[in-house]
Amino acid sequence: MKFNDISFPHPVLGIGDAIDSDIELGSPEINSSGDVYEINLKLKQGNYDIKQLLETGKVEFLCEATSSNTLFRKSITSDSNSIEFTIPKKAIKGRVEFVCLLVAKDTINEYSNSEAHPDYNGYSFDLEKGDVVAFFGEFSFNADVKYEKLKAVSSFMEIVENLDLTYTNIDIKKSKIQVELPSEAYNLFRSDSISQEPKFASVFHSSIVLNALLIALYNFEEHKNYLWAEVIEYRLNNERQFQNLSIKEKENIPEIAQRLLGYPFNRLLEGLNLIVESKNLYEE
Amino acid sequence: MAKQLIFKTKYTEHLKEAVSSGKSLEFYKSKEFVYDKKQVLIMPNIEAFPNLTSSLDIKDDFKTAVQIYEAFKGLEPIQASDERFWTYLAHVDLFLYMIERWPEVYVGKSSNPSKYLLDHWFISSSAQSSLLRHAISGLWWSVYLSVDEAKGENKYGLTKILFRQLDFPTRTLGTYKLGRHKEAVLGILEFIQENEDLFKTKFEDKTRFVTKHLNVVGGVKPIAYYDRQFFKSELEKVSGNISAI
Repeated sequence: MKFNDISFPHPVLGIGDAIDSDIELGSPEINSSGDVYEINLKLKQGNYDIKQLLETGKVEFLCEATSSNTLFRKSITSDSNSIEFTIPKKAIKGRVEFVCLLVAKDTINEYSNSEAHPDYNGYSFDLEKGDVVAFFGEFSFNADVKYEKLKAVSSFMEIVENLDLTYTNIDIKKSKIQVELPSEAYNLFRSDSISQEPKFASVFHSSIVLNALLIALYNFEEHKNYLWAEVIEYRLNNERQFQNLSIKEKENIPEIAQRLLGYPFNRLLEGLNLIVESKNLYEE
Repeated sequence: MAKQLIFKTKYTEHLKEAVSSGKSLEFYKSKEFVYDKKQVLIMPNIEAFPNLTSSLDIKDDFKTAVQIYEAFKGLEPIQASDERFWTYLAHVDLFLYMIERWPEVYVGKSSNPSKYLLDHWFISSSAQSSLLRHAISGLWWSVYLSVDEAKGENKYGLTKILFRQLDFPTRTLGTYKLGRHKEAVLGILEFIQENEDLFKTKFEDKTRFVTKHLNVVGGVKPIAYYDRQFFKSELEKVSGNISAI
């Protein structure tokens, strides 16, 4: 069901101005816990007639979850507006979509709603089992995004070898931003003395990584469907440090990039100082 | 018993690019596909069936589908939607089956060999329609959606109806959102089984009508809420229209 342009024969709370009452999806909680995702919902509505239907057990809450990548479809019903359920991680992949409704448990004869739009005045409707009475809304999350590991640069970027290249290339049309190094440079990068040296992390972040990230962020809007963009968008929407930094304003992008990488320039200077001090210590 | 192998992600992409560019077409004209044996990973919890090809029948998609499903019954949905797995099977374990069942490039008769290979040997995305259209993954998923364990020895009875015409699982029912809800699939197949006379002629046209009709019903009703009886009774209401096709 797609609720954007849908038109029901009977008044449905939450669809356009069919019924003049409050309805709220709230803030669904999605937590990763071991082998499952835990979903917690608190659905709210303020329509008197629908409250009566709930109290008499004629309607129930329904949350439908789908993941088209694994042909997953599950519906959860509840008499309570607080709904908790789990989804096995093995059952889903990529975008997982949810739609939350209130549906008729069985036939409801001559349904009408006192807060319905005047267009429905004088009409009543016979509802069948499953017919939608209220639409709370839709939400989704991406099961490929490891939300608990988003702070790591590796959640949105990787450095790879490209045998055909003479110069470094940045490819943002992949699930992660790819920094493609020519073989010789890649082998140097991978050598233990460089890649395993913690002191050089800030050097990489403020050079290779920052450059690639800036290219990606300046082209963010056109690549919003890529996993790297979803990871970054999640951080922008959920971390307080980005609250007043809209990515749509291009002048914010250098600051967003610095914040995403944990101020690499500062760390670079501190790191260089550390390298100099270690060298001095060694020479002493 | 050996564990099942799959291609690495980058190698899967490499194979796809080599077909798109036409560089590797010659590899598909041989009885054995030559690949880089270092570019594989092990699926630790899945047993390999290297001789599976011998039990497949290129003239019987139903039989083949059940054999593939039985061999890989333990796949979790997340594994069964992994293009690296199906690409590996198509190129290695089941390559002989593939060139016999989809022979146009092998015998040099394809007018667009790159497209033919991409359509049958590779999955274009992990979306439902791609999984259902792939030459091997489509067979597995069709059985997964139609097997009815409650029916014991006859658990594949409805699967057999689904395979009466290959387009039904791979291009009609399977590609609709309806196909994601197993009870809907079982309801449709049971309706066909219980109304054999209605489907004796024009099976393809009639199953297209059935799928489209229920998809329209699903436009205003939450499909996943209903069990198979609902779908059967919805089809009962339009049996006159089905008969008139």
